[in-house]
Amino acid sequence: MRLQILICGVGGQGVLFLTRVLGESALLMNVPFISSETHGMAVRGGSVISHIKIGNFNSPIIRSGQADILFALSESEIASYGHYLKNKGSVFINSTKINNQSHCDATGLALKAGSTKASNLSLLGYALSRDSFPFSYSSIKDAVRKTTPKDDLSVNLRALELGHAFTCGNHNLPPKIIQSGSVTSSHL
Amino acid sequence: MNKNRKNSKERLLLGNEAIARGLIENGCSAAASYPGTPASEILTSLVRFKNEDQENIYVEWSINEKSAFEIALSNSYLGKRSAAIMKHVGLNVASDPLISASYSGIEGGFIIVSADDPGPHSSQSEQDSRLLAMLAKIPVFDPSSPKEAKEMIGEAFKLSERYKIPVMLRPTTRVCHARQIVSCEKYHTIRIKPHFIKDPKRWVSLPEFRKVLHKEMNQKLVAISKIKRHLIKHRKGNYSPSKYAIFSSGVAYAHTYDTVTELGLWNLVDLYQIRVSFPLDFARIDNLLDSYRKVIVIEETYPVIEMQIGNRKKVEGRWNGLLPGEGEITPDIIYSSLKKFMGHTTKRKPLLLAEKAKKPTLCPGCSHRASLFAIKGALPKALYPSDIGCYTLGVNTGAIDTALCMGASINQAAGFSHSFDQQKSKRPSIVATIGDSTFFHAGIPSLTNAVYNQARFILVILDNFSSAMTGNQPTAETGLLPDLSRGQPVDLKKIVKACGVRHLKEIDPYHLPAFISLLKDADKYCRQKKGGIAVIIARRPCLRDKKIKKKYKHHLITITDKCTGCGYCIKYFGCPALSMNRKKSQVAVDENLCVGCGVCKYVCSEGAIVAQ
Repeated sequence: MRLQILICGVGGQGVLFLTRVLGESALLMNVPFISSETHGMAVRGGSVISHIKIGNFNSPIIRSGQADILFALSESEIASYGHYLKNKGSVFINSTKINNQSHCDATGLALKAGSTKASNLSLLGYALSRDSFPFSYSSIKDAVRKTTPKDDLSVNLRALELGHAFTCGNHNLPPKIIQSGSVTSSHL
Repeated sequence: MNKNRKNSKERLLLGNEAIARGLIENGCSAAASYPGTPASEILTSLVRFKNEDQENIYVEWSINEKSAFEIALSNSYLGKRSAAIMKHVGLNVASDPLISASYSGIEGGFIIVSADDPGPHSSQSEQDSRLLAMLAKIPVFDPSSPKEAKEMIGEAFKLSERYKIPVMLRPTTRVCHARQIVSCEKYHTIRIKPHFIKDPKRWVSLPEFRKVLHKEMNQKLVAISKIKRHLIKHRKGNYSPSKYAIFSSGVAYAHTYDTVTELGLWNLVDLYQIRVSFPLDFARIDNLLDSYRKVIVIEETYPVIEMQIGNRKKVEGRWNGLLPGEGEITPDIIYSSLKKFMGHTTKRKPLLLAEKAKKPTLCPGCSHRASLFAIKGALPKALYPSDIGCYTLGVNTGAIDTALCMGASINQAAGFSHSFDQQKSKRPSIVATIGDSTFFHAGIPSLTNAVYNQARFILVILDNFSSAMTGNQPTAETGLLPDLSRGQPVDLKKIVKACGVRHLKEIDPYHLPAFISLLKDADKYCRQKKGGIAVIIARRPCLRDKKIKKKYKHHLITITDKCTGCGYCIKYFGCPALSMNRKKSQVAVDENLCVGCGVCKYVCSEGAIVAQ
């Protein structure tokens, strides 16, 4: 497996938490994992991005147009980081406007689960329901259990489940192919 | 839980955690640090690992890097392994002991972890610590990943002990904040009784002894440069002999490896990883240069390896412009530079879009925002020297004119004060701002100096009981130690008084009108015949700091129809909870972000923001 994932959002949305969940999941599945995160100044409400590379990689940074998957925890960040996505890459956007299968109202689902803070996991759950996503649901669940503090566990798992169910129930649109560098308003 | 963790070999670790693991697994017995991105999490992780396995290691948050360096160094003088941990600009603060310590040498293995920040992402410069290592004449390891950083710690301790020399580990942001699966070993506890070997010729830095030590140091460097594994041929091209070689170090090496693979250049180039950037084996480098047409050097941040290579005709890199001379070296940059070098032309240009990152801001309810707004409101035409910390993010308030380096605010205020007084010109008010942690770090000598030399200005100490920007590490004022046990608190007020300040007030920055009148009084004091420096301590714990209980009345904020949509509050107060509702042309409050501090009610001149 060789997979490059970019997660973008703003400080406080759980970009780093999501990175750890995917990392722990890679550890459980025994595949090499390297990521690069934003810390420090930038996390005070600024853009936070995380590059994730699974498989045989040395560099922790994704080149433009090379990401297989892009997670946007905040819709506004797509404009800045959409260029990382490759031809035919998959994009998952936290958005209230559902225009195509890239969108999921992750914040709404997380609120239902008990906290808007868990929107990152709702979006991940949604991505997991797509065929294109190479992690198994159970490995992700185990990783969430390992990574979450006790008090937040039930909310986090619920948010993940709601995201996972979101597609299966409401959305059976055919997968839409997204062109590299062309993640524009049509996807928002 | 602990047991499981101890037995599990593979762990997902942040680079800084891997460095902490490396220290603890190699028997480091004392570590001291001052927080600074990207190095902050190393000491925090040490505390965590220490608690997991009840390891006996002394850790401290020092008040500055010079203290950290000397604390750790002393432990090494007594024969025990030690580490001083800081960011690159912190190394400047510790450079005085660093350069002297390399002459004296050490007893127990001594590692300086100095984390560079190419970019820069969270720093005032992108200086290269390896140049300071060269200046100090100490070897410097240049790790390319968390895994390698951990491995290099063991190597560095051994090298340090064998040659009795301090050794630097120089990770960069992309190593510190990379996450990787790293194999963890059992802790290797080394129990050494502290023992000081009296030897004034080494430990006392009198000039007569130093020339001898300098000679020894030079001999050590020659011997260290000959160590073969410090420069590794990591991958040989498919055809022999290859025309070109790439010398690379740090995370740039990792980027280069992947990029050469991606571009299919293995039939043209041999790739060398320079694991120790100083000292280099010049004879070996010269031999290598002879066997290639060209050598490309790919490194961060300054061309330290490149400038050490004598044969300028054969070398290309950051210095001669093949790669940009500044900023982070990303895989995108390496990709386009290598293509340029190889003379490849393709139809499709590589995408090199600039990232329009959203800027960081002060948090909702941050007391610094209130303080800065009060300062701007009370003395709108003042000069505002400021300092390094979260509050620098409040530059939108207009109450920050300078931020040079740690502790500079007070000296700059004094310098401005003297400069105006000298010309007998009408002087503006001068209001300096400095955080509590920064004040302890470098502010105390500056304030003493300013009082002594009769400067006149207002100093507002933004006291939030925390090194907030770097992750809420405890400060001397709280007396909390790295493991959050109780130490000895240091009284900030008493220090200010002891510096000779005669006008000292305290205020809760949430009480904006009272704060403004205090500032006006302070300005009058500064301008009196017998006036001097007025200090106001603006006290309120950082809202992000989970260690401290916060007390304040939670207000419900509403925007009335008096709002004209002028946007003043958004631009100059800049609370993330306030935004413009474009449909209504009025300001709206985001209830998810608002913490109910109620300070914004003072901001609107129309009185449209109501706090209940």
